[in-house]
Amino acid sequence: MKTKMRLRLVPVLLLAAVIALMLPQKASALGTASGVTIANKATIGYQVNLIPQTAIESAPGAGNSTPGVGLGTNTTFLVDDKVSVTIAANDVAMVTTYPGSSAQALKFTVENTGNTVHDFALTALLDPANTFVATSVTIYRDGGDGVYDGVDDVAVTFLDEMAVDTPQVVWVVAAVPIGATNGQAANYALKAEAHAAGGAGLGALSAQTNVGAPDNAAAVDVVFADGDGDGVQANDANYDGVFVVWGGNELPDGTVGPTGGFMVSGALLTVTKTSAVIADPVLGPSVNAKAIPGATVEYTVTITNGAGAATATSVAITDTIDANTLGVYNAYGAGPDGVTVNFNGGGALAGTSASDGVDASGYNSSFVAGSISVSGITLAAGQNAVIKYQVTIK
Amino acid sequence: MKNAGRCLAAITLILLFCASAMALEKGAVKLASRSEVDVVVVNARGEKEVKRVDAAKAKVVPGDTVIFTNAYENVGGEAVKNAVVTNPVPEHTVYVDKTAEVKGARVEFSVDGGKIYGLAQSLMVVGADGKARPAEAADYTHIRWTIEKALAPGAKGSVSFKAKVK
Repeated sequence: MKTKMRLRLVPVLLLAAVIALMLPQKASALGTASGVTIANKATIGYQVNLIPQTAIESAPGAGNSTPGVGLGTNTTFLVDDKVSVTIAANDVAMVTTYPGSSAQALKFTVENTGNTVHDFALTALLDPANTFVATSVTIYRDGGDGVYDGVDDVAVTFLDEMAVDTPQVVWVVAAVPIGATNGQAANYALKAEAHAAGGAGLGALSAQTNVGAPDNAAAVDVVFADGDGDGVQANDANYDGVFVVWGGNELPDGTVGPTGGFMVSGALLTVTKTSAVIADPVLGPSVNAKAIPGATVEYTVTITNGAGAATATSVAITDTIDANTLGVYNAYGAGPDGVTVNFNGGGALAGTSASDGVDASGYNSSFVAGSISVSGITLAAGQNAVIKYQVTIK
Repeated sequence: MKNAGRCLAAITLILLFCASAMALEKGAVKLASRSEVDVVVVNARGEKEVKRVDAAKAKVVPGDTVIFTNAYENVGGEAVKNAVVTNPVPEHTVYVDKTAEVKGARVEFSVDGGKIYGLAQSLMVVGADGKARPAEAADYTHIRWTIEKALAPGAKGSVSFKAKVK
């Protein structure tokens, strides 16, 4: 039994050896880690009087002439710490945000492209050409889902222990002031500054060692190999250990402008109110009626959302009538039909209330106790709503 | 059988003694190896110039090119013939194509750890797809220079190559 087993095992082992030899050598994407010693040793073989002599291994400096394996000495040097980061701005167009919003984010990807683990302090820089200033700016580290959703995003000021070649998504979130208006923009840059790794928390700021001086042969020196590639941004001077990339579409000529980043999309509502006397006690209903006691006056309130604006929802308007007038609470029909709403030229709707059963407009209006109110209007860009009501002069 | 075994052991021992005695003697050739990098320095006149410095005394990071040089010298009293310098491509580095060529020496490479050597264009490796393809500089594991001329006593020369730190 035992002999048979052995006989079977031999071909299996041979096969394994062949496969191992045939496997292609996988090239590592990682750079050689800092602190690694690169050693070199050459060998010279030669003949004297046509007799092969024992080979001689090399040595650094003056060299070696003692023949024999293992009698040479490696020529060595140490791989230093290459500090390098790439930051990619992932938004190809302006990110639309809204007055009062802090739910939108600029996406950046930070990757340690050096050969040593580092911490990276993060800062969001505001483009001087901004047209709105956020009430606050926060940087979040994505937890892995690649979506800014507050589920796995953690507010950070630095990336801790960033391993080499491991991209990390980072979100720059600006809280837009409620007063921001349509078309305002702010572009942000993400700045990453290298710090020493080691343990939780931000390590000491990395500094180049032996600048302009020979390498410390026995120690790992820190070498800044930075620049975001274009080298045109003022904050992006080469070899300062600071890496800056602007969000959106960074201008190639080095000027900064709101070509990337956040763009505020606000509603552009205009409200106009006009009045017309439509009847008086003398002439009755007439275009020539005068504003005398007992005359009926119709008010027209027009709400318009400008072209290119964000859709305004839940638009509501209230108006208190003058003390010298009385509301005509049934001007457009029986019951509570004191108000009409004409949405975007679609025809006036009287008694516009979702609850009154007269129409299904969704608008809710009331005209009681000297005050009118209309709510539930949604206005897309370029749309308008015309609201009418009537009063009589006391 | 036992006697034969002892005999063999004794012979091996003697051979070992001989080998170690020989090793202590100086050979006819001296081989010195150095690793260097080219750095740009600003000289006293404010001009930029490239200086070749010892890699151990320079900052070397991944992507940098290192120049490995092997200087040989005939330190014996006889002419040396068929000198062959072999240098494995150091670990963590990749050979830079066409940097080992030198006048007066035939350059060959190995892609199998130094077992078989051949001219650059003759070498094949198994690619990622399992098919054979011509070897590239990155596939070389060893470099071998065969010095064509005999070295008279006192004659010197050197061979070198460049490799990039991975």
